[in-house]
Amino acid sequence: MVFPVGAVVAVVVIALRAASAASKNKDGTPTPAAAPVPVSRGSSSFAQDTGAAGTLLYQLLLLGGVSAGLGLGVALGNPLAFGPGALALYLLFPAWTGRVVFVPLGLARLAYLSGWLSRVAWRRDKPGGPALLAAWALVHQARPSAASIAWVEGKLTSSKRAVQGSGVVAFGLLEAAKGNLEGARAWLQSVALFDPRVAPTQVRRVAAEWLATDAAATGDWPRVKALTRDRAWPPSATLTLLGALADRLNGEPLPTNAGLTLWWLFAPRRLWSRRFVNEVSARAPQKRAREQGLPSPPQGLDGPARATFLTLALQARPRPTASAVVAVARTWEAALGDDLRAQLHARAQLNGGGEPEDAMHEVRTLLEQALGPLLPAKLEGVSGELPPLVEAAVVARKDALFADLEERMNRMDARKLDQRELPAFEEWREVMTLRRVYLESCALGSEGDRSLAFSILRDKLVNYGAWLYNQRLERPIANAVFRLLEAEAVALGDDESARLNKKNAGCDL
Amino acid sequence: MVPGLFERIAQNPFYVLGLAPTASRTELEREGSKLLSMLQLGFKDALTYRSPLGEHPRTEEAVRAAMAELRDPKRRLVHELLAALPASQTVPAAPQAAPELKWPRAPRVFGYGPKREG
Repeated sequence: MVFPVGAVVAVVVIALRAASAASKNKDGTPTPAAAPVPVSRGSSSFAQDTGAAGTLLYQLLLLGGVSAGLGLGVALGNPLAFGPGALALYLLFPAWTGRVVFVPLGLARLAYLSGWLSRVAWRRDKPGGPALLAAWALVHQARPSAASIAWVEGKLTSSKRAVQGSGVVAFGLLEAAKGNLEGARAWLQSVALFDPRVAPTQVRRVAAEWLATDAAATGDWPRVKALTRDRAWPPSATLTLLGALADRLNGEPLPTNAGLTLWWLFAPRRLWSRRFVNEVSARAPQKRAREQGLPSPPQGLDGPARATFLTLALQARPRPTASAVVAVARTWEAALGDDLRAQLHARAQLNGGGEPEDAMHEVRTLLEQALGPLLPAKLEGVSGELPPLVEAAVVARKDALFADLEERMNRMDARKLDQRELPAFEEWREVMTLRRVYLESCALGSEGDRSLAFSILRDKLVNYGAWLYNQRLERPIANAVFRLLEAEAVALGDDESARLNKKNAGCDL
Repeated sequence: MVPGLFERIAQNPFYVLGLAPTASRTELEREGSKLLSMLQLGFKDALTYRSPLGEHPRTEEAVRAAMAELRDPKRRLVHELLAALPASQTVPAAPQAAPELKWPRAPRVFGYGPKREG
């Protein structure tokens, strides 16, 4: 049977032209969205995309080619005669072939070529998409060569196109290929900040699954659960199975073994995952050991002895909680009171000298230096005023973070004013670092501190985003900046900033 | 580097000399001399001392430094505060949490890289 290629193509081309005409404004000017197609895949919709008709035509021709080629192979009965049909089939589905064949085999250059040949999945996402496939292939190699990594990196950094989610994922996977897992986590996590139009499902899924499998490899099941619950990431069978395993290993009664088996049946790579799923099924669900409180000091100890006991117990904890550190500081505050001062006066008289105030001041300094570093980055579970012994450490840490935040923001602002451009990926790295410092500043303080931190960024970062958008044409990164600012402004009730950033974030990608 | 709180507790002169913070100047001199003699003769009992942070090696130098520190009434007051907990009072170790079940093969199983080191 002959496929009616000509007729189908004609119908499709006419339909697309009609759609393109309909997308024009009443005054006849095209929508701004259609203009900068090369900037990013989010710049235009399918109907506005002038290359869409060509793509369809190309795919239909290939479909005809596959049909004819395979028919020829069957007719001649010669395996070699299937060659043209197989080639047409590869050209019809190059991205899929790259993902399921070349990526698992670790063939980075062929994976890149396949992505590059893609007219559907990655057509408006180059070189990010092909680089993602190539980087993913490199991750499969036990020891990827530095030259291969540099080759893929070169493809990404030499491009004049705007950075999109695919490029960021590719960069993250390259960090993983280099063995820098911490860096890879930061890059891949940051993809969630991009608008889904420039970080489509296929891109975010790779990032989410990499992050979840990485957390599972380290036994960080709470993080696995958090990732699989986060709506920023698209669902997948792999994530569902990992989420179910995390539930069980986090001590949840559900899913049952039958439920776990069901999710396993839906997941890919069942043969390879069966052993671990069986291992988890065989374990009785048990609540994760919560952070246990500090041991009670023995009876009969006086105030300083009790406080010393608790301090040493705290120091022996691998990850003391903020509430435990604060509780020990409060015990010391109670111990270093007037009673102790009176006792020290009496001891000083017996010893023939000594200044009780100096002694207490020296011990306070030692305690501040010892307890400060034990405080975790986030002050969770702490209620009431901080005792002075740890307040000094918190204030010092907060001051350092605010100073760092301000310095970074000023540096970015000065760079913008001087038109000193960084490579696009380095611009994104700057934004990621700024966001990390901002979040750390907020984690230590109150709502007022969060407002203070936001005031450092509020205007300068929006100007930086506008510069990225207008001058650098790095619209996806600028959009992520605006969205970040908008979310924060809404959370802090800054209506003016929320309105401005919402408007900016609504601009064309 | 200036020793921090935990070093100061572990190396507290009262613990080094095996004395209570209420010990008199005479007791301090007597105990210090006795320990120095024992160390010179290589007595096994004198080679270590206890603090709430565990056992530590005792040296002649440490004994002399401890005696010097406690002769100074100003320094002695700080050491008394830091030796409030008896040396024999050990602090229970943190309870060992059950080891997390890791899945080092997860990245490999789902196509995200080679097996991680367990």
